[in-house]
Amino acid sequence: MQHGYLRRFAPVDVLTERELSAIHQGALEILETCGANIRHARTQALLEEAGCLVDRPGGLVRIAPALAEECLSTVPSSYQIVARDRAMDVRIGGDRVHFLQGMGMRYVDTETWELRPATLREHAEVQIVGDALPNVHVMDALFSFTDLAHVPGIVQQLEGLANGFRYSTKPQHYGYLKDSDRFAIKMAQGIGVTLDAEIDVAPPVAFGDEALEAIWRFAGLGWCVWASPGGRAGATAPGPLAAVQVQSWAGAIAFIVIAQLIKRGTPVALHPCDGVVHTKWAHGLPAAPETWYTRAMTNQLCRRHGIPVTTASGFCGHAKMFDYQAGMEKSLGVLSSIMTGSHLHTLQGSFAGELGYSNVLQVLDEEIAGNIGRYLLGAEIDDETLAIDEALAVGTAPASFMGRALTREYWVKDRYEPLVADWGTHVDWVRGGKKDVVTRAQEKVEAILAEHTVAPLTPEQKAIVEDVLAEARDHYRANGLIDNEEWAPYMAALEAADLP
Amino acid sequence: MQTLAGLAQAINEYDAAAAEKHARQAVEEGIDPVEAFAAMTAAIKGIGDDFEAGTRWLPDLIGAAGAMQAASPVLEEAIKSCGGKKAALGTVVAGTVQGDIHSIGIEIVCTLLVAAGFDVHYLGIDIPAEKFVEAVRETNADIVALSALLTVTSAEDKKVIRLLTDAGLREQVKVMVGGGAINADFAARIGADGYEPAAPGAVDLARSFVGVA
Repeated sequence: MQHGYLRRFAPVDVLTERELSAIHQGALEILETCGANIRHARTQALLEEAGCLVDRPGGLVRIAPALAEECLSTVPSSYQIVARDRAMDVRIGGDRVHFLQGMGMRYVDTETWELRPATLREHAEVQIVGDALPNVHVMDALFSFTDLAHVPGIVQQLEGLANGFRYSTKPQHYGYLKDSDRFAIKMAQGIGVTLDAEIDVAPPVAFGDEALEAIWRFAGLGWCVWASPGGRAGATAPGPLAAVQVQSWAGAIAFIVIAQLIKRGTPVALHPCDGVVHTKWAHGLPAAPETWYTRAMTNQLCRRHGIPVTTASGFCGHAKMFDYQAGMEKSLGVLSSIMTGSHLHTLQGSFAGELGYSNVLQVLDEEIAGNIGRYLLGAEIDDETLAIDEALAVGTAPASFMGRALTREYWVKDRYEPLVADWGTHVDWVRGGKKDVVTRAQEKVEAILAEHTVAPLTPEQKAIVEDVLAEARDHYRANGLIDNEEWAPYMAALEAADLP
Repeated sequence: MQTLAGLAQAINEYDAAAAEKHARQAVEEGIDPVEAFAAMTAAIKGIGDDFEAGTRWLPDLIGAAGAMQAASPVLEEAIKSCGGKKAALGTVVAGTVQGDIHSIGIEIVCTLLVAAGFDVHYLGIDIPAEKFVEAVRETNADIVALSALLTVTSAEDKKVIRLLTDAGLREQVKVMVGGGAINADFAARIGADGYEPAAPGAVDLARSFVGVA
């Protein structure tokens, strides 16, 4: 089991109990009075059966507070993701902190800083580097926007997941694209693992049919489903930050009710993607302080109800290069969320407001995770660590502790050593050719790719991956979601993939 | 003239009720409804200039557009009853493609297009490609605006273009695409005529399609 980091101190509260209660009551009122927009017939029937008022033609389902509270109470406070190497399993929840690889739509070309579709080989190499980095606890071989060169949209997540299984033994995460999760589930079951499924709540409080189909499939298996509400202040939620919370919490509760009615005890994690938008460009601001504070409120609400949080804080900022802004945005986002109680954090590799990802950035972000992890471990307080006897034995200045056994011991066991950050002297930096951190990260990527070996899939597992991919390709080709124009370049890309 | 000033002020203050009231008053006073439209357009253009200058924001533009939309039916009715026709920059058919229900972006675009003087037919969310084609045929549209958040739904953009071609309508209509999954490369790949990442730019793109600078 990958235990991640144990947060040794209580999370920070940003709201009072009365404020939390006000948000919760507001969400319940929205669900009872206005309802959730659900047009999916099977889900409407499920909710009606449970006593909800269903306006079928209007697609509105009103959920009574009692049902909402009851369903909230049956969500497990933690859940496990099974990896193909069981030593890599993770349990999300409690005071444990883990990190999830962060993907994006397109690959960052560090020569030009432009975003372009990744080749299948580049995508595979991202999996290998993620597998090698100790603070990438869960892999994200796909992303709902992923753009792999010459791979038709409908199978991009599946090709990504296949690369994830081929090049990492760590747990995997999935989403849904139309019904492609059916094939992902088949692949995972054949390999003997579980998947987390990230499913969006379209704000305000609406559910697409395909999202609901995916909830049915994953919850039916008892696998964790992530409710991902994305309300944005002034756009898909009212302007004030508290109101964003009310809207998102209403969406999350509706999601939880559906999942619990499908199968009691289904793990649900909240994956908040809400926050603020910039009112010039109308795009979300994932790395604005208002968004971070929104996430802090979510974290506290989830702690109140014992719901794990898999947060996107720190996932990506607004920077266009791997510069001061990029590091600041990711570090502050992820740290502020962790300090307020979130569990799994999308971090390593994602970039530019979800639009990009990079292997170099994956290494740079690993450094952020390592620093935060060490911070979370805190300091032991006991007689040995207080070291009063040591202090008395050595005395006052000009005495030194440098040569002492206790110093030697704790220098080794109590220190974080940077992966690519330069903590040396300025003189050494000049002598070493004035390398910047991006260059050092690039070198680290190259070293990992040269040295790291991933335990391969067994022949049976390999056959399952290939068979399911072939079945999916045939299925989507037959129903027109892969057209003839796409097919030939797709096949050519697979043939020329030169996978590691 | 006081009435037209009041109408402009209502737009400037995002006051839909006042805009409608002043529009009715303008009609009652026998003011040329085309002139009244011009007063509203001038007011909203001023807000657009402030937006460009960074002193007003999208909520201001949308608020003003909302006020204009409240007044427009009154003036349109008056134009019609005089046997005239409201001049529009062009006709736009818009919606989110099938499988996608993320509507905020396209709704902002539609609002701004209306404010800019386009006749907009917003079809809504989760619209099958065939419906876009049908709407283009029915409205004789100049532009189709397609929104897709996800990569897979963006494939629907391509389908709309293909069906427009099959229906023999592709030559008469410009296709603009936007949404989270889209970029300029993708737009070019699927044969769209244009792409813009943000709503205000989409209006400029639409204006360029109909030959207005």
